[in-house]
Amino acid sequence: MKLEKELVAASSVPLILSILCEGDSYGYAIIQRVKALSCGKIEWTDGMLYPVLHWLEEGRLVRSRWEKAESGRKRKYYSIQPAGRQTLREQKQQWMAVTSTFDQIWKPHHA
Amino acid sequence: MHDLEKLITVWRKSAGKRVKAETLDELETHLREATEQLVRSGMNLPDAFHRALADLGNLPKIASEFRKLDEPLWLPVKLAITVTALLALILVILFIARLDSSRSSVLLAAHTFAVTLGYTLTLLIGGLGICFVSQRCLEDFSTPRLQSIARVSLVLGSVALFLTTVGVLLGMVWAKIEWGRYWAWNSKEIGGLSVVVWLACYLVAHRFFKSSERGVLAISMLGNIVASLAWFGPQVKSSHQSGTSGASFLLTIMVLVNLAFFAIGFVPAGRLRLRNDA
Repeated sequence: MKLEKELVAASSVPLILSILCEGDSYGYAIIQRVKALSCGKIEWTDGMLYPVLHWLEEGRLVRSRWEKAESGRKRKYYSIQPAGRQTLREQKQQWMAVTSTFDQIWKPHHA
Repeated sequence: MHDLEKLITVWRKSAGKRVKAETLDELETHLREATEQLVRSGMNLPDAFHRALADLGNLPKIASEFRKLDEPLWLPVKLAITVTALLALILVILFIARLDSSRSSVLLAAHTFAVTLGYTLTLLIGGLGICFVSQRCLEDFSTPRLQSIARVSLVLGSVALFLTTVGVLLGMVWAKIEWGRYWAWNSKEIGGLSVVVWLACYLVAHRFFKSSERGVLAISMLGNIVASLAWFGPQVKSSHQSGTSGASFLLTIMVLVNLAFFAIGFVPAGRLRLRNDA
C-alpha cells in the first residue's frame, strides 16, 4: 500500500522536522530514514525533498552547512532551529487531533 | 568509479542553468550516495546510476519547484524602497545647500532632514501595512514572502527610529541655542516623542512576536496615525487658530481610514476572494 500524493506532501514538513529533531542530517539520509520509518509506504521522489529543505531554510525553520564527511565527501547538513521546533510542536498537535479523531471513529465497535 | 565521474559530468551538463550551482552540488552528492548504495547492493554502475537518477526525479520538474521559492520582491516593497531613496536624495541636496549658512541654521536643517525622513519612513511602513492587509483579503501570503516583508518593515522601522531620535535630539539642541531651553512640551516636540515611542514599541513587537509576522504587519498602519498627528497636528492646531478647518478634516479622514484598514487586518486571509468565487 502506498500513500496518496496529497497525504505524502502534507506530511513532508513535520516528517523532515521530526527527523532533524533527532539530530543534524542531510538529504539522502533523511530519505533513507523516512523509507525505514514508513517501511517503504511513504515514497518521495528523492529530488523533491530538496526544494522543501530550502523552503524550510528560507523560513528559518532549519539551517544548513556544508561539511566534509568521513568518506571525504562534502555534504550539506541541515539542523533544526527554534522556529522549526515551534512549528513542529504546532503540527504535531494538529496531526494528533486528526489521528485521535480517526482512532475514535474507527474503534472496533464502530467498524 | 571513473565511469561515475563521466556520468555525473554528463548529468551536470544536461542540467544547464536550470538550478543554482550549489543546489546542483547538493543533488550531485545525493546521486553519488544513492549510486554507491545500489552498487554495494550488487547492481552494476551504469544501472545503479540510472536507477538513482530515476529516483531523484525529473530535473526540470525539480528546477520548477526551486523557482517557486525565488519569488520576486513584492511591488509595494519596491515602491517603498524607491520612495525612501528618492526622498533621502532630495533631502540631502537641500541639506547640502544650507551648509554654508549659520551653525544654528545647519542644525535646524539637519533636524528637518532627520525628522522628515523618519516620519516618511514611518508612513511608508504604515503604507506597507495597508497594502499587506488589502492583498491578504484576496489571498494569503507564503511564509517566505511574509518573512521578507516583515524583514523590510523591521529594517525601515529601525532606520526610522534612528533618524527620528537623532532629529528630536538635534531639535532639542537647536531649541537650547535659539530659545534657551531644550524641551517645552509643545505640540511638535510631543509629536516627535510620540513617533519615537511608537517606533520603539513597533520594533519591540517585531522582537517578541517573531513568529507572528501577520500581526506585526497588521498593526503597522497605526504608525500612520501617530506620524500624521505628529507631522500635521501642529499645523492643524495653528490653522484652527487662524479659522480654517480643511486640514483638520483631512487629518480626521486619515485617522479614520487607517483605523478602517486596521480593522480589515482582522478579516481572515482570502475572505474576499472566496466571496467573489461564490
